[in-house]
Amino acid sequence: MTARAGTFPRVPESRWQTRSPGAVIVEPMTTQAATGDDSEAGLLRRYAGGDQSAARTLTARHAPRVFGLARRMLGDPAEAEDVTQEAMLRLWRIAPDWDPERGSVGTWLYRVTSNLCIDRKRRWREVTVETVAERPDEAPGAVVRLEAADRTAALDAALARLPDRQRLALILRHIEEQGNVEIAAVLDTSVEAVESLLARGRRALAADLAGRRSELGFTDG
Amino acid sequence: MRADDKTIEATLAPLFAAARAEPSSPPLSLLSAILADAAEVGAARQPSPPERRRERSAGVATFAGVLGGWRGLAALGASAAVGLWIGFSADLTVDGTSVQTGSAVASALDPDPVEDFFDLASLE
Repeated sequence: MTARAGTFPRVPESRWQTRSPGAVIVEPMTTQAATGDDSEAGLLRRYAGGDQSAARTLTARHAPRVFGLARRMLGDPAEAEDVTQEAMLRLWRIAPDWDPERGSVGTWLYRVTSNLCIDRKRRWREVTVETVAERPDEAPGAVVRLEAADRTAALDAALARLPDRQRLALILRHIEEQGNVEIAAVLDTSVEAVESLLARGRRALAADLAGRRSELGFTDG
Repeated sequence: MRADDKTIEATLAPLFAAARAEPSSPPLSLLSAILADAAEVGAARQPSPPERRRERSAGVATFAGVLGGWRGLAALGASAAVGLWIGFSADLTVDGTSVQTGSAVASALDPDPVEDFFDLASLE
């Protein structure tokens, strides 16, 4: 594998189109710039045949979601970058042997990313997870309306305290907006099991955040 | 879904909405590393130039094998050189199965092309 996180080879930024800080578009972005079959299987076939533009399209489509999932699962941007690079590398390697019967590339990448994240967390010491999950200090009794970023941080911290599969199901359902069928494919389980994971995860999340309802802008009903 | 589950889902909805709205774009350095990996994996799948030269050498070796190895190939080359020599030489007398040469012709003959083929055979 090429450079790990923090030592990536640099591409001149003039090659990348930027709409706003934090949002990056990788060119070519859409099928307008691509030629030939732009289905996922077609893109992998073209890449396996030596078409690097297909790799750019696949990266633009999938790398942000893979990174988003990894970042929420691990709570560490550097670790999330490593996992993202590893997941995409596995896609490049499997490209010549990709079988459309195995499902969508997105679902496959989510599954690979999930497994990589869970494996990584198993190797960590438990105290590391506890450190990530600590709540910020706050004055007792103070009612403060938190900004959206603070609400997201509180959510991430609460998600980090959940069991891995509940956390994964909630992230895929409510943040990545995947359907239960896709989530079942990622978790290699049944749709009914996914629904159960989601229900239990939501209840645990709500119980964890109950003491901060006012700050977090919870509404009843 | 139970009634309290619906309530819980509705309660958590703003938090999830805020999370979805937060940008999660990978850094440029990560994107370039991903594409560098793609190029490296793709390049590794293509046959390299030294492999193509070995494929050509393999073809020559197969041809030599049909002739009985490098010695057979050397004999063919020697026969071709002698034939060429006969054809260009003005002092030769061809009698039956033998070739008679004058001492002048013999001394003018450069044995190197023939010896070179036998040299090739000795390299086997």
